[in-house]
Amino acid sequence: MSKEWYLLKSPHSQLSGFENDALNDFSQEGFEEALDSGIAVDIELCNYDLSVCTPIKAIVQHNVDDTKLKTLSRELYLPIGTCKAGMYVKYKNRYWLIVGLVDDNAMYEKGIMVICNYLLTWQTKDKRIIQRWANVTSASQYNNGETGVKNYDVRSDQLLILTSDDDDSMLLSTGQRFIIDRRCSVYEKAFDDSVTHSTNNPLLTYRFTRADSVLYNYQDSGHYEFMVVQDEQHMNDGYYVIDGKGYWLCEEPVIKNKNMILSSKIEYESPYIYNGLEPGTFLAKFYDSEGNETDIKPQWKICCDFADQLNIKYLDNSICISSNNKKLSNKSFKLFLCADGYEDTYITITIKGFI
Amino acid sequence: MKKVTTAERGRFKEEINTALYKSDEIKELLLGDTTGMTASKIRSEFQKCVKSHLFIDDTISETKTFIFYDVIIPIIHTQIKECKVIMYLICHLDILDDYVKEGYYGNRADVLSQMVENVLINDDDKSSSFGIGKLRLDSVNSYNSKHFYGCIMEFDVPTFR
Repeated sequence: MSKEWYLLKSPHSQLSGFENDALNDFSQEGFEEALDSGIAVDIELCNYDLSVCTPIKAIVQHNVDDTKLKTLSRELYLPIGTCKAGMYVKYKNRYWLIVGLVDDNAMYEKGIMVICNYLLTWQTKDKRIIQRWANVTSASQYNNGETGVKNYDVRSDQLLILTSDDDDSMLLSTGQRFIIDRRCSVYEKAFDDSVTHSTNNPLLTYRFTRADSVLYNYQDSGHYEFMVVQDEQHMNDGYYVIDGKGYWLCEEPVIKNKNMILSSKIEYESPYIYNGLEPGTFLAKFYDSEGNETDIKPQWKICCDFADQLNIKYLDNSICISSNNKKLSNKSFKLFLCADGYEDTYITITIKGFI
Repeated sequence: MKKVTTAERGRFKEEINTALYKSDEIKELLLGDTTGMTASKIRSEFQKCVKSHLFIDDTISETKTFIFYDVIIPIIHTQIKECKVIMYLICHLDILDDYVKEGYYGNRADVLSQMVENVLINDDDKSSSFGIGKLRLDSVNSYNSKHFYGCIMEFDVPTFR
């Protein structure tokens, strides 16, 4: 018998006549149909460090609220099992953090997301630079976790920071200092390419004082909240260029002198993959400052919502991609070639029927 | 009433082209020895010999073997459509009789028609991947022109409207 034709019909046989069966069969499908309509928007669901971003359709609500605070959070409606607390959402070119336990009502799941207003940057004890988008709000009305007799008062502010509960965030220790200052982007405008560090700008710096690692832990998900209190700017607080990228750090970083990879490219015979045929092979090439080929282990990233339906094999510096799914015909995806600290190179690959 | 779609024309062509390409025997008959050729070279040479439109007399003079085919929908009923695949398997007269393959009979065009039959009809998975039920061989007629000889195979399969 044909493999395809019955798929044109509903996968459920509605013989019982009970509403319960109809609800079981069609509740989630009904929501998925709503995702095909105009009320759904394109978002990207991202992991803690934004290294994996999956484009999906979602319904976002409460986007036309009345009060200032309410405009900083949204309700996110998705098919059941799609998201968890602590994930980031890229919605209308802004990053949002899903907070609160995500649950469903047998039709869809709902998450609450709050706007991320600052890209928090710090250096770990093993000298890695970590960046996490965070929701930063004033917490001056709360206790900052420290008591004592103060002999002087120079600055006083404390902030509540919401971020993902990944390992690097959870291992932040008391005393860790951050630059949390929007003026950094203003200072950067005055920097030219020759600036590799700058510690002359006045900055707002904060010190980690209070954290709870279990308050917002939901066993399989969660987010992380901690409090920072304003402190005095130190001599080494400022702007540092590491591997060609600028960071605002509260400690002078160890800058490794790496061999610069000036360019990279993806070599291929054809930007098309033919459905059902042999895989397309894409080869990574890296070049040093003199244009000589260098041997770097490539990192590949496929950006599309059907990456799990592609057949992927890695062979030395190549990635071999094939498709055996007719439903993917004429769909395109982006293949990114990444190397540590450098701008990604990408190509657009189209899956075609062979004709 | 359900809207009619003609998407099958393109979809069936992709199925047919892929199935023919996957057959090593057909590739060998059309292209000869492909050892040492890259995959993309084989694909492009194959595309020169297999065309998803019908053959027009006197437009091709190369001494090669060709497959020309098209998908038509001659009848559209209220619920189903009749789809027909018309396939020209033609061979230049100069190379018609210089091909022999174990298990096959006749000249180059005859052998090719048997190979196509194996791929599209005798392979259950493939023949079931078109419409409702299986692709069925309806008729085989001969084709004769000044430079080419071959056969015209017609297949049919119903599919939903």
